Amino acid sequence: MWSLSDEALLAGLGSQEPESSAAFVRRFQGRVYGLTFTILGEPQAAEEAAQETFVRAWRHAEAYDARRGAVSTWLLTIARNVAIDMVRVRRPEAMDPELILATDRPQDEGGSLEEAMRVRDALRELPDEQRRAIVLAVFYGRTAREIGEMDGVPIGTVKTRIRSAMFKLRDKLKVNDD
Amino acid sequence: MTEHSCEDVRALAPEVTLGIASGEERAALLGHIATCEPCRGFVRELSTLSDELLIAAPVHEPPVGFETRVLESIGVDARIIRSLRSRLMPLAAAALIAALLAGSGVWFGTRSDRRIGELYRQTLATANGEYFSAAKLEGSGGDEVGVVFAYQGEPSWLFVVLREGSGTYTVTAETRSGRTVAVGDAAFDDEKRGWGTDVMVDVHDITTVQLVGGGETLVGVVHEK
Repeated sequence: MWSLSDEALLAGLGSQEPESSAAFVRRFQGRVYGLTFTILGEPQAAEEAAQETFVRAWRHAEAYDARRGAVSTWLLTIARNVAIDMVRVRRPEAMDPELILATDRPQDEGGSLEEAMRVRDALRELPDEQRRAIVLAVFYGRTAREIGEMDGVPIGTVKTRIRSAMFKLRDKLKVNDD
Repeated sequence: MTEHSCEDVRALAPEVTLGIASGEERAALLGHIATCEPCRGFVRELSTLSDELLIAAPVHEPPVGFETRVLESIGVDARIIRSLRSRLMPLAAAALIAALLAGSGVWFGTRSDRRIGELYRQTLATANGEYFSAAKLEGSGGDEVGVVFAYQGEPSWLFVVLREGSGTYTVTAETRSGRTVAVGDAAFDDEKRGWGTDVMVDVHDITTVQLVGGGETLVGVVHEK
């Protein structure tokens, strides 16, 4: 069970196989709850969102396509969407986006620690205004208009910041369409 | 319908792939990439990037019992898992402990550190283990009430022996970085003095194991901080 791939555990979750389901939850609960807590900033809401994330993963396990990305990113995307829907209802104002990168070293039990550090380092290298815009967009789902209103800058300026940040990150992290 | 150039679409792509674009912008992009392979590839790259940025978020263990609540919400009976673990872990733990104790006569007989070390290595090699440790389990008054065994291997596991008392305890492990990891719920009675489970934490990283229940807290110091 402990050496099974993420894909195999997800398939087990989809069929409600007890050991696979438990192993899947335990493998990813830290990342999922960490993301929902980062977005929502409150333990109870974060747990509710994390729980809903695993429920949706179970419901849509058959829809996962390995060609489109890793199980972890698929799952975190679900978590992000669940949490953003909740934050819009419960917490109209966003948390401090710099808190995302405040931890010196993400604590990770799995093998993606090195990748997480690469992404965090790349984000830190962005100019402050670009980093703020991209973090607000990625983790809080804020539109360019909303970011502009929050920061008192024209929407066109925010769009440029987001675009510049994404292009820099694409080059830095060497994301390819393989 | 206005035709959008590749340059226009590449300008739209970041917001669309981040999920923050308007419906019109999204429709414009999708309409273009339906017939433009280079832009389709570019959008795929940014989509991948948008998803991968999420792993930058810090990792936090959820509250104790989260796993059980999730499994119950998707219709998996968590008791099945606890039953499987409670049956399998004592067997695995007992096998290792028996292997260690089997050599104890030789250990004391020779009183050779080198011999003890060799027996320890042979035992670990049996199951490709890396490390095995034991710590006294103490009550709030400092009295010794049991033992915590910690094994680093595939899988890694913790096994708790409670010499007296009964009840259900919530078991957690604290790591060197100060993180508290939920381990599981342990039940003891006069006929069941041992409980174990696999853990997804590096055993080397565990400082203490705590059992909380019945108004008391039992602590085993596995490694000094």
